Amino acid sequence: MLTNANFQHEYMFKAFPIILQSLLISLNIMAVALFFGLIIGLTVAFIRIYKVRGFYSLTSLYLSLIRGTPLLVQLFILYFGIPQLFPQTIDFLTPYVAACIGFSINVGAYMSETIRAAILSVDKGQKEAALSVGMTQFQAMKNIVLPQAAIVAIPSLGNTMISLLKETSLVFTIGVVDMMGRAKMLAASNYRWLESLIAVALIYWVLTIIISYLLTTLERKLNKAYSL
Amino acid sequence: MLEVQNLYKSFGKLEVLKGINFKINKGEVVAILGPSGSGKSTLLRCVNFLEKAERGFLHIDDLKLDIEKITKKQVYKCRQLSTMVFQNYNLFKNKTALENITEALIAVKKLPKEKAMAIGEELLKKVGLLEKRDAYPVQLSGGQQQRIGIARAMALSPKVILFDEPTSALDPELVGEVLSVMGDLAKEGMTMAIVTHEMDFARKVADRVIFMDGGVIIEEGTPQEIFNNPRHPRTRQFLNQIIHKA
Repeated sequence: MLTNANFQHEYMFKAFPIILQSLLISLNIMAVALFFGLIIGLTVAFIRIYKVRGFYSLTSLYLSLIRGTPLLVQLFILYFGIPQLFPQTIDFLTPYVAACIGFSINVGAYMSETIRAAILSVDKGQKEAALSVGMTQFQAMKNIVLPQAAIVAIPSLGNTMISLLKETSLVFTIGVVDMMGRAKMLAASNYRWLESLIAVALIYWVLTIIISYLLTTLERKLNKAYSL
Repeated sequence: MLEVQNLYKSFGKLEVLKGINFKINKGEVVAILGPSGSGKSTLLRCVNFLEKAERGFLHIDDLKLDIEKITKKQVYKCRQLSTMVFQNYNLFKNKTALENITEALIAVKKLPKEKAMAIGEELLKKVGLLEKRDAYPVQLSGGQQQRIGIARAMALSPKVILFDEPTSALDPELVGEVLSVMGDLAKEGMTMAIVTHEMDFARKVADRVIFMDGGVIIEEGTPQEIFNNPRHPRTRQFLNQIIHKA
């Protein structure tokens, strides 16, 4: 083990249970953002594929804005800026709610482009075949095109999910006590910065490995129909 | 049974169908021949509403449709009466052979799953692929995929099946099995419109042959008339080219 007067591993081990008290908060924000991000992503993708009049230019602005500005700035505008403009939102916009909204909007933009590309990658003949046997546009999309698009989209969406988990560490800046927040508070109280930070880094690393493994398993299962 | 009147279709400035009139009677097998770009495939796709024609009339079964005024509901109804077999099979990649056939029965006809599966297995038996019921399209040869494609088109008991160059994408040694399934279908009295380059098959199986070029029907008649005594010089020229190539 590392034994150095300047790095005391017992502090690191003590940090794990303290940081892990906030595991659920971090995972919760990730899950909520993933869920609403998918809904936003699907909606925006369909608006862009079908070029829905009126909404199309709105989605262009949305994508450009979200992808053109830093996530941290978006979070700050949402948490510190919006209540300045609308004071009545101050009770509603707790740090947790602001984090969930901010991450959903942000991740939705990235997901919409992945989903749009995945839907467009499905051969046109698949939809035509579905229509030719009397299915409605909606049925053709739901039963035939989307399941095939999902297989294309899942690896990229998985990457988005992994980035998202790590990016949730930004929420401590608006006062959510997530894992990063705990690590920082702990370090500030005992001055063992490196021990706390290494501990939190290891936790993120292990979580990422677990999520990657789950995604690979899911991909393998879904690919069954396409491999010999 | 199926009647098309004054059908017009353009892609942008390019006029592809310039007033098509034809009729297929119940139980009749009609082969549609012609050089590429003559509008044969577009014609079938317009009948199935995969392309929307500009104007014209379509009678199918007891449905009489003015294409300019057609509603979504009529399109869906019409597609159930006329199903399509595609050049590239277009089997649903995410469904097994059996599911490819039962999908429309469950989603469109709202049959219970067991009943749809019974029909599906019956049709698989008919095209000789019952043992492949759980195989996915990638696990099947082109010929097998197309036979499943035909079974899928039969599932809804359509009034007419539209074949869009069903053997053009197949390796030569696989063409026979698909044509034999189509021949069986014809014998059973299925009404069929077949766009094809298989001249021998058209000669043997078709009751009537239509020759198209440049978006119009140039000539139609029995296989004997068209193949042995084509009246129009364009038909003669086309047949000479095809037959000499083979």
